[in-house]
Amino acid sequence: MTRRLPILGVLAAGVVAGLLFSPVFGTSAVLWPMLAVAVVAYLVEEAILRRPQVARWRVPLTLVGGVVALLAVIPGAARRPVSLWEAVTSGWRRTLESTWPATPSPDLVAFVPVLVLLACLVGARVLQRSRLAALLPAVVVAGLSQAYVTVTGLDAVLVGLALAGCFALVLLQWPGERAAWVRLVAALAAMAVGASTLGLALPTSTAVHLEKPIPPDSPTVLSNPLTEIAARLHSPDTVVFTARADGPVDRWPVIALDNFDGVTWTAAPKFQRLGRELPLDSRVTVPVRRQSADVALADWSLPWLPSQTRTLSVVDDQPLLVDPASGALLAEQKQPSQYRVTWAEPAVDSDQLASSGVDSDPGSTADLGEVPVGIDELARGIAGDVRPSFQLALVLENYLRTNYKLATGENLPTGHGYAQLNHFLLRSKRGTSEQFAAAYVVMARLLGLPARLVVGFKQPDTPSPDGTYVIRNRDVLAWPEVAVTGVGWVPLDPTGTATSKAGGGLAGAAEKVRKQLPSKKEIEREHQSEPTLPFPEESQKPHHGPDWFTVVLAVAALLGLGLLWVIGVPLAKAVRRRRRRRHGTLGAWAEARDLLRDHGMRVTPAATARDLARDSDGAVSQAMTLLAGCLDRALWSGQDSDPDREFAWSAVRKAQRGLAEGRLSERIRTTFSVRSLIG
Amino acid sequence: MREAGHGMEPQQAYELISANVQRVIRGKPQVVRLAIATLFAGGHLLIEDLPGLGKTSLARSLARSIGGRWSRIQFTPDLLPGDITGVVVYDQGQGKFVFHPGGVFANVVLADEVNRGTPKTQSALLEVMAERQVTVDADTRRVPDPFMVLATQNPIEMEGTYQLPEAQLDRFLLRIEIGYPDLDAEVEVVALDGAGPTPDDLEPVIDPDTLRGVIAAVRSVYVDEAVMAYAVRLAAATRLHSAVRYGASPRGSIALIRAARAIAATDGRSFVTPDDVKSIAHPVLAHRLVLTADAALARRTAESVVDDVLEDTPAPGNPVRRDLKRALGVVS
Repeated sequence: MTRRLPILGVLAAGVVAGLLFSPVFGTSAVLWPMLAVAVVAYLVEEAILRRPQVARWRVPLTLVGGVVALLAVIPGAARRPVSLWEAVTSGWRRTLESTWPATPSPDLVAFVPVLVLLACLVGARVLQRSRLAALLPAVVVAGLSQAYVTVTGLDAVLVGLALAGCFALVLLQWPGERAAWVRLVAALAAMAVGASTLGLALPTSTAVHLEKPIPPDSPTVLSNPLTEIAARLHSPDTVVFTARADGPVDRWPVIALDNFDGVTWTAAPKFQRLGRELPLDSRVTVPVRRQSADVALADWSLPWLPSQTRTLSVVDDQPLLVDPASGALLAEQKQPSQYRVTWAEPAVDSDQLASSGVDSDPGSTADLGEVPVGIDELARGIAGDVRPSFQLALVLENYLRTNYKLATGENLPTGHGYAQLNHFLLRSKRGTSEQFAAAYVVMARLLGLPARLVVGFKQPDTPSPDGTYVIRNRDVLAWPEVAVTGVGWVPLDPTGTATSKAGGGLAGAAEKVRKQLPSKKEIEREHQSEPTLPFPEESQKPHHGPDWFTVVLAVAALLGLGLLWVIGVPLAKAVRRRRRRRHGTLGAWAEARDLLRDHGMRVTPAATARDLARDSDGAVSQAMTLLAGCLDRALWSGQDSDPDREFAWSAVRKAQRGLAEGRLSERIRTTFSVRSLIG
Repeated sequence: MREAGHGMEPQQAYELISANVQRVIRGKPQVVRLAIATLFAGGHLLIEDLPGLGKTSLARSLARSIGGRWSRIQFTPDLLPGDITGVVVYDQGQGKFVFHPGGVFANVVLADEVNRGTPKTQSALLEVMAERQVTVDADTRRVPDPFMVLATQNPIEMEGTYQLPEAQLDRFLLRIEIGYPDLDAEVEVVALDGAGPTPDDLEPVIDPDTLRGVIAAVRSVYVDEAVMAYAVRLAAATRLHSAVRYGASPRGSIALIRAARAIAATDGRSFVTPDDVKSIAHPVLAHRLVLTADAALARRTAESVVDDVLEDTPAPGNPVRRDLKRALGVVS
């Protein structure tokens, strides 16, 4: 077993290091393949232990066995063996381009167990030459995993302890002398404590992602869905897609447009490969409920797919890209005909929404270009003394609803640049949702409200008999969204015609707030009476820094450990000394050795009392010589009695006094040293 | 002659001989002690060092300090085995073959510059050193008891010399080096040049009968089993050392205990301690080791190998914590 423990330690260290990829793929996705390759590596090493001539076949046996194990364990790998090669050559990059947890497909996840397999192979191969070097591959794997996502908090503590345990298995029989043992144990403890402290002090997540590069001639770059609104309204009956949801749905966003240069609204989505499930935006702190819908595309010409703002997952045969910030979906290769989308719908009541502030950092830009003076004056006139808040957003919405008219029929106005908006806002006061939404977002941003323009479709009020909603061209809509603290992007309806009668969801809550909205003067009075707008509750603030509670907990634990050390070590030594007194000269000898060891002297198993006397000075040397004489008579003279036991213990006391004559720092170090206790 | 009587304690005999020898060999009490310990252990001593350091003087002083018969054989390339062991010649007067004993028929034989003799001549010492008997013309004759060979050799002048074979080296209980004296001792030697006593001026301080008693007393010194096992572990460890081609033989283990007994006796003790074994490990073991070619090229020495062995072999009574706990009865 003694030969197998270091091998097991190396393999376990590789698996533990590989487990650091868990946040990327999920624990079960990486655990079983890694265990499989570790078992293969162990079987090969076991064969080598039994038949040393197998050693020459170690590399091919391990590699072939590992690949076979991966093909058997990773779902879908057996059907497409070449995916393992793709995983090694490009899986690491594709994983970085994906949202996490990534889809555990063979061409992505397999690079982790392959890394672990190589770590096990290299580690086991160099184990006989250097135990320290055998651990390096596992350390490299752990380092690579940290380039993906830094393990922090209690996870880091557990990983640090697990790795320390594995390292201890490997290094257990490494040093032959006690001093080296002390160094080893101290190093392992320092590593565990260091990893724990670092893990607790670091921010909770520092995941690194790569953006999926989009070609410059991609439809996503060239398309502007705003320009299609008027065209779609000219052929209103064309079915674009159908949707069947398990809850009320108000709208189907397609793309959010953040940037406006005065002429064109453009989107800047940062697409990533869609993994298994997207995490909920940390800025959403209100309760949410999961909702799903089956979407079937009909006459669909846009590059993006209908989705929801807080998309969690999409079930589809085709690989999809997603912009986690907006929830925009994009087919990576071929557009799917149907898919199932799941999203998080904030469950917020109207009172909570009415009292909410706006999110000062929603993650969108506030480009406005050169704003015409008339639009600026109009916006400020609408706002009056109302401060930026969700109520202000509704005041602005209400103004547009009341004073402007939605264009229908033929001769629909088009365009969304300042020229068209100026005409719409100050002259014609008639437009489609394109002008309503664009004008709203411009004025909202002028008033300090974080707003963006979204293009998509509203859901019709009535479904077909089977419960499926048929979305046609007439349902195309552009609408503004305002970022509300704790809720995220809330859709508004400046045209007054878009909100579904079914209510429910954010749109329904916004509609209720809209109906209960006080008059502008009352809002102004209310805002003037309040020194500041209500702050979000502390628990609702997004948390980006260290988890201070955990840090305090760790510091308290460390202090407790220190206290235990200060009290426990001298106590343990006193108990040990008391017990040794019963063993006469031999006990005195053991006590003297531990005294010197605690004092920092090198006390090897080969050293006799006279050796230690030679290595000491002054009173300590004399005491050790005296003890050596007692020990010789007790152990080697053939006498059964122990006549010198009192002399021996007096020699120990003399040595102790001699050692206590040193500097105070040395005495403290000696008192609290655990070398003799753990060695 | 200040000759000691029968029944003398080994420590007393040691002090007498040591004081006598140190009238000539100054500033080297430890070397003198090892030489006397070899004598008390009933072994043979090889003194190896540079010219002018007192090898021959030490050997002669030790030989002169012992009563009984002593002889000196100056080894040269033309020395014949018969010169050492003796020859049988035809005596016309008596009309029969008569045995003429060689130089080894003495209590103390000083083999000066032993490596200048040919291998054939050197090997003439093999039988007498091991079995204390000489076989000439099928007749075996015992040498006087006590019997000790004190050999000297110069390690640097290789021309015209023949390195002692391993079998021969193994028969020397100890190989010691004298080393340069410290400054004060050398000043004293220079000051006494021509005025101080020479080995020829020394009187015997112990007679052969007393020496036999001392040797017998040394053999009765108690050795604990753990100390014996320690000596065996030391010798065995030399065989496992990576720099050693051939390690110490079981004769080396025996030599360790014999020499340790003598050291303990000179210290006035009736038992051997691990420190006794450690103190004579170098002179007992080093000359019995044959290093590998790689180690020799790396300028490793047999002494450094013995250092490693002493460093790595746990001493009895305190080796590892578990053993200690077992000794304390804390664990079974």
